[in-house]
Amino acid sequence: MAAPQLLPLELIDKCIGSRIWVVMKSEKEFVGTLQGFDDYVNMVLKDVTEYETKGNTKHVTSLKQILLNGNNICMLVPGGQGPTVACS
Amino acid sequence: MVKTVAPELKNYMDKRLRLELNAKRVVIGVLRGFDAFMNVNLDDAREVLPDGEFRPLRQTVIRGNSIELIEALEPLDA
Repeated sequence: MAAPQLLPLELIDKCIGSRIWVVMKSEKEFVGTLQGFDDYVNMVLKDVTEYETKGNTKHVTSLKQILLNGNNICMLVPGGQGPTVACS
Repeated sequence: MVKTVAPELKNYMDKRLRLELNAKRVVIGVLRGFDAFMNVNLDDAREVLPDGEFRPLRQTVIRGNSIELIEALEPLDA
């Protein structure tokens, strides 16, 4: 059986309480502390930095606590530090 | 009562794969797990940027909704 596999949502569950890097389907990314998520992978994050790429520039915003709609999430990277602001 | 079946990715487990996601993203990693929605758990992952550079991701979850294509980079057993 597929018993020894690590389920994707189990990996996200292990990340509760630590930093997570969320990449959206659009050119937007969030780095924050994961407080929780639900079956739809809607996420509650705190102390969030939002990175939005418009053309060549990245716009950075800080948000205290957010509920992120799981509909447009593409990738989740536990312990990720987010995009490096200076990318060639 | 609806029967949901898990995708047949057992043959791809622990293999290095190349995933094409929507928005023309390409990610390469080793498959460590998956679920009925085709959410995927990749190890040692990296995003391949259009200019050929790698963006390291290490352990990553990819939402099944955004996966367009899965290519095996090493031979499968079956």
